[in-house]
Amino acid sequence: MSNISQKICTIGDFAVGKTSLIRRFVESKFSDNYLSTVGVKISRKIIDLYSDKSKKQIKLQFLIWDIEGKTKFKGIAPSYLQGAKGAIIVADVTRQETISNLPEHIDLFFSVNPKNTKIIVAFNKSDTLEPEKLIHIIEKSPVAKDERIIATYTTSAKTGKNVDDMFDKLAENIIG
Amino acid sequence: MNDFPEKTADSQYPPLEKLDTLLDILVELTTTEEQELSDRNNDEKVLNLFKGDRIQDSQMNNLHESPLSDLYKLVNNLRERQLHSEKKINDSLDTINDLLPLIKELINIKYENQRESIVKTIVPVIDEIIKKKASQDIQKMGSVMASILPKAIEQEIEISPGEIAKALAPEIAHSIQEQIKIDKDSISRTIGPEMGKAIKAQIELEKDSMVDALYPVIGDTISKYMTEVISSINHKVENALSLNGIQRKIQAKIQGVTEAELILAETINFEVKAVFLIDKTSGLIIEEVQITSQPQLESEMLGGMLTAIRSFVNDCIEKSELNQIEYGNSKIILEVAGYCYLAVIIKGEPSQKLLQEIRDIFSKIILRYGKQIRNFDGDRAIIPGRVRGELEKLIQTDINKKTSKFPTTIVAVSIALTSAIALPLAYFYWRDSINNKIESNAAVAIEATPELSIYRLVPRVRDGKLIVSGKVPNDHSRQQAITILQNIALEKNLSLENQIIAVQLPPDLTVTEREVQTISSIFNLQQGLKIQSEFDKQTQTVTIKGNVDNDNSIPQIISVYKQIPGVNIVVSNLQVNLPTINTRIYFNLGSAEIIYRDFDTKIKSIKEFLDRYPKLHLRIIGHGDGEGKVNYNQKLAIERAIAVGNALKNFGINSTRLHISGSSKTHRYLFQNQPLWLNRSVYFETFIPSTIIE
Repeated sequence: MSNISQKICTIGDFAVGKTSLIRRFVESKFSDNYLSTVGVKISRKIIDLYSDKSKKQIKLQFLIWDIEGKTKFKGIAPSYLQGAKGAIIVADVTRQETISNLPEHIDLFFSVNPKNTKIIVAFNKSDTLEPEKLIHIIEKSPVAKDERIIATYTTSAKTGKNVDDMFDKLAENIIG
Repeated sequence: MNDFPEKTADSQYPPLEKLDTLLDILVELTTTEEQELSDRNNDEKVLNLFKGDRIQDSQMNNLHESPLSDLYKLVNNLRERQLHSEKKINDSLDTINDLLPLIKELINIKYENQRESIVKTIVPVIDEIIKKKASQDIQKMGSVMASILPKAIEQEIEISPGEIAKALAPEIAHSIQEQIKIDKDSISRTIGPEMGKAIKAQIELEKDSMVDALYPVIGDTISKYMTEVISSINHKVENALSLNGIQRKIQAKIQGVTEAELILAETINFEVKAVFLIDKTSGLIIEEVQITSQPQLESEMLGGMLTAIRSFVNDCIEKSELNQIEYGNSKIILEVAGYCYLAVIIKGEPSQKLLQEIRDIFSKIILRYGKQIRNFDGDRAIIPGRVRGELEKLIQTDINKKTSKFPTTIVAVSIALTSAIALPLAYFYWRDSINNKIESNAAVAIEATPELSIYRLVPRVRDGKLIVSGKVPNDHSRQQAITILQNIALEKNLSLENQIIAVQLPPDLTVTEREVQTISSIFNLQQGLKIQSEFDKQTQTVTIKGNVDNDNSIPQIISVYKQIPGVNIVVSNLQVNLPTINTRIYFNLGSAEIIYRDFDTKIKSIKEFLDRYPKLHLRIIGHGDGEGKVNYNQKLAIERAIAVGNALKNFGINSTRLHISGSSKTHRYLFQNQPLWLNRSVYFETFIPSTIIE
């Protein structure tokens, strides 16, 4: 079994639920306390998976950089994105502007890490909307047809919906 | 006040009666106004009135005239109102509320100087009222009390802060304990954030008191640390004249710092806790080394955070580089290269030497393993193990290493020590090899001598001496060995110490006997010697007899037999082949008188012969002619021998050498046909007496 460590990032606008998603994934519990102090919070999660590429079992250690959300006063520090193999770009389904900003985040990430990187988009707080409305929002979103994205998920940090699946998907795509 | 009336619907004391009672109190108070203030009866009366004693008319009159008339009127009106009211007063609390101003007024006016006794009396009553009411309607009671409590506490704090603190203190402690039981963290969560502010505020307010409060703790800590430092400094100062001390002085001169600074730098220790080689962009750990005896740090998290901080500094402060992060007594030294950086976590103040070593090792890693580091993609397996080996060197650079700043010293001391040990060793080794050679030569020489080769003789060389030890069967062999070794000793300029023992082995007597016979045979081969020998095994004695040509040979012959192993005693019966005297002295018939002419001729020549052979003895034998009687002949023969003997004595021959004898018979040498007178003679035999030699 190989031990591999990889850095991934979560980015998105302020208060879209990035930290909550990570907490849900890493610690399997939900907290509404939002981190908005130092700009970065680093979490760790180990995922066991089988690599089709190397034909062996891999113990993947995710170092998840939870990067403080973008506000109108402050952008995301590009240097925090350096060296990441993947990213989860998060939007809040209840706030249209966070969805509109998704391409900007994706562009930023690819500008820093143009090669061999994987991106997943999470439409968070999906528990607050009716499923029909949710589908409508996603279909209308500017990233619906973005080929750089390997998958989109409707997530809820509150209920845990799709959270583990989303990180597992990212892990599989990074390891190959 | 257990007998206080209860305010229930079926109480035996209705509110109206209460008013009556109160009126009675007022009357009573009026009548007793001029009595002594200390009259304890008043207390009892008040108490009893509350219990239901009725008011008297006379007392009522007095009341009208007293200063309490207004109050009396008020109460009376109240009573009237109650009387006229059709409904009963059920809500006792309203009644009490109505009464409270009255009671207050009453107490203020009348018992200003008896406050204590009043309080003592009233307080239990009020307590009981509150208690009863609380049991009936706790909610309402709570709301009533709540409105006055803050104000009341505030008032009390203002009046008597000490008292309220005393009252609350035990309860606060108890409350905190209870709360901790319920929710362990709640108290710290609540107080924690405030404590910092409180301490800060207190420092601003009164710094000195905070210093005093913290002094015992901080003082002890600093004191302990300083004691250790001073102890270490003392030790170093005591050793100022040691090798280290001298080296420190030289180093101080070279570096241009004081010796004290160097001592302090040596004294304040540091320890490398962990070393991390971190990918510059991702913050992933490429390689790490941590002290195994201590709790392990979360390296990946630490790497990420350090990388984030580095990025933050780079972004915010225009490409400036973060070199070190300090926290508490520890530091994180950062050395940054193209694709990675090194983070060294150090407790204490690192030395310049350590910092240089960090740079050197990091440079070496970059130079040798830069390609692998550049290709690092989260899999540590691609990083050579030697990178870890290099990092481990830094962990080993600890305080112990710090004291050994002068490798030259160690080298010098090592050389001195090595020389002190090695030179004598070399000398001993060299001397040993020389000695071994001499011993070997001596052994070979002994081996080369067949008689000695069968014996175990050990030559050794010690202290300028050739010492040889061992055992040989006789002195001859011993002497032989000594002769051989003496030559070697002289050649090597050594003295010989002979420790060879000649062991006297019991001889084989058969061999001895054979040897005795052999020796005899050998002697008999010589001309003039005819020897016979016998060996007695019992006594180990050799008896030899025979003739020798001269008596000087006898001691030599005896000596030869003596040397035969197993021979203890030599008995010699050897005889020398003696010169003979053929001369005869003739006598006339029947006479023993020597013919005169024989004195000068024959006797004189015999005397000269004896003088020539002083060891010879002479047997003088007289003879008769055999004619006549035997006794006569015998006597005549002896007289003739004596006559010759006397003649020789007269010529000076010792008589001990002269042995007289006579024979009546004819001389044995004479033949029958010879004339008889030839028998009338004396003839001579020479001999040497036998000798015994041991």
